[in-house]
Amino acid sequence: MTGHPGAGAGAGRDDADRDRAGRSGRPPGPADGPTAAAATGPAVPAAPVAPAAGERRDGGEGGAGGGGGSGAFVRFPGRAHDERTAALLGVALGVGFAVCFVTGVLSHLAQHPPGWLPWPTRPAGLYRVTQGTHVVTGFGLIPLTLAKLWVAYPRFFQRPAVRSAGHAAQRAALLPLVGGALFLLVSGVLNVARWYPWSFFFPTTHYWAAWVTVGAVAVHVGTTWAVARRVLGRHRRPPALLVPDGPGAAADAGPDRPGGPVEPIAPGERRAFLAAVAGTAALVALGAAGGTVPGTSALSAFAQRRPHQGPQGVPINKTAVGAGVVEAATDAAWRLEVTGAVDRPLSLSLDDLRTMRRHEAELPITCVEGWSTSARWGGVRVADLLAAAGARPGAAVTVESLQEGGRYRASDLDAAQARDRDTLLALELNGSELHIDHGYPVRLIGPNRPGVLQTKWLARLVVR
Amino acid sequence: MRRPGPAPLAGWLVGAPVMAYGAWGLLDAAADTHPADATRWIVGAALVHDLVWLPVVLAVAVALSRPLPRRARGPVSGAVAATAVLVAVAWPFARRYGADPANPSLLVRDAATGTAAYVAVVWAVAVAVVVRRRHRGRTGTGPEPD
Repeated sequence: MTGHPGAGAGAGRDDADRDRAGRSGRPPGPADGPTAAAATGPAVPAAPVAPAAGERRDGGEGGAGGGGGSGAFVRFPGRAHDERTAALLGVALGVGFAVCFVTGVLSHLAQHPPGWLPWPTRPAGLYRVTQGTHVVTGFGLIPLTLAKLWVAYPRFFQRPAVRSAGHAAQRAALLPLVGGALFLLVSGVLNVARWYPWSFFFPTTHYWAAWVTVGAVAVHVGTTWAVARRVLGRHRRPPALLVPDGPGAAADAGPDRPGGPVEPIAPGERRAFLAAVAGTAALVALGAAGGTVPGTSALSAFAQRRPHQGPQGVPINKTAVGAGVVEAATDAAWRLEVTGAVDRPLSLSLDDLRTMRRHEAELPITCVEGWSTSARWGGVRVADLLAAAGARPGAAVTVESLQEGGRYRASDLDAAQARDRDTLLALELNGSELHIDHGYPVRLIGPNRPGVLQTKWLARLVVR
Repeated sequence: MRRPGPAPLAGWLVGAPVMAYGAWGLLDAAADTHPADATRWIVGAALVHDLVWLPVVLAVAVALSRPLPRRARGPVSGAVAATAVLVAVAWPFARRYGADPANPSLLVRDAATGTAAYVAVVWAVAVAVVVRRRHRGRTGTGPEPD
């Protein structure tokens, strides 16, 4: 999509708006004639695209309805192609993408905590809420985005394609806007579907593409601000149609247009259109919500998980087979090493851990892919183990897995996370010994951590 | 011509550095982001939408709604679009491209059946809207909404 509402506003648009509002009941006249063509420049090749869906009583008969004049590249009779519809969808998209951006950046910070922002351990379910919101909102944005692109689609065909350097820059900024937004939606959905038909690493690429897209959103908000205020503000005026033509387009659709002005969309029609978009958005969001939003699982069509389906009633992300740890994890010689900045390095068998003070915590496990479930974990507090090893108060810990490679074979606990009463080396899940796919013999589980940082099949704690 | 006011400049002043930061991040993490492939997907998403997805959906919507009475055209077109979106989103789930035989807790839903139910809801609503319009048109209890 290339074009933004209002870019084609030539001189006299406001007059045209006022006149159109007052004369919208004017009956259709004769079909577009050569005058209109002359007013909008030379005729261009015939439409590659059929008239837009949703056409109404101006549906083409008698030539009274075209959104563009006869000079238009494509005829768009559907009157939902107007500035007010575009602006309303734009506001909804702005809010939705802002929610996704903020929750996405939070997820990035949780996974890669910078020194200046210690990731809090409370509330324990915070990440569950932010990441669930991210994924469900993202799915809901799909119909909104596609509807907005359809509403603005006539501007894709605007002539002249470029009017000035500024206009060229505006149109160029629509590529990162539209391509970026669609990329975020497509890649996010495919990540939830666990399908990676590309070569890049999803989280990093999705994250940086989001910055590009949000920057393009800021540019777009700036360039469309005046139009949005004009059609949504307190003293709002009737919106112009988004037509393919360049300067003169507004006049072409207005009162001087042979055949009479294009009628603005009736409020009821716009409401019906927006209600249909909102309903579809709700359905798509519901489809994805079942893995994390309580009460939606039974109605969810394509959520990646059921919250309680999996070994011990909890879903699995990485399996022991997939991680290549089955042999090491079930080896009778397995020991958990506690090393690094400690007075008494420890080497503990599973029985040693079982004899230590046992603690239980109800904690969610939350995947970046938008599923989460709460479970009862039993095991040894990390803080107790650090005390037994003689670590200094305020020590941080790197928790390492038996996995020999992979991005998530180790995770860090800062001082606050390491001393939290619910940060456990879990031996049990929901009342029974940890299943090997959940990290047997022992795994890390802590409050408010992304699932990939709840390291499984532990080998060693390195104290810093 | 109406003066644009300060908003476009403000948009560029905020947006351009943010876009540049994102582009820098994509390039700086090139080992992960594979910038050429990422660019192909970003540009490709826009092109596929503008040149394939939207024209095809519009063509189907017009083909199915054009022969119908006017009051039915909008609801039918909308239902076609909603169906297209639902099927597209559900497709990779229904096809189970990401399934892992070692992990039976993954992709556990029958996405095809579930999505078919959603599509049925969409068309039921569309039919209900058409019937209501027809009823209103006959009884004169409301404006004839085409």
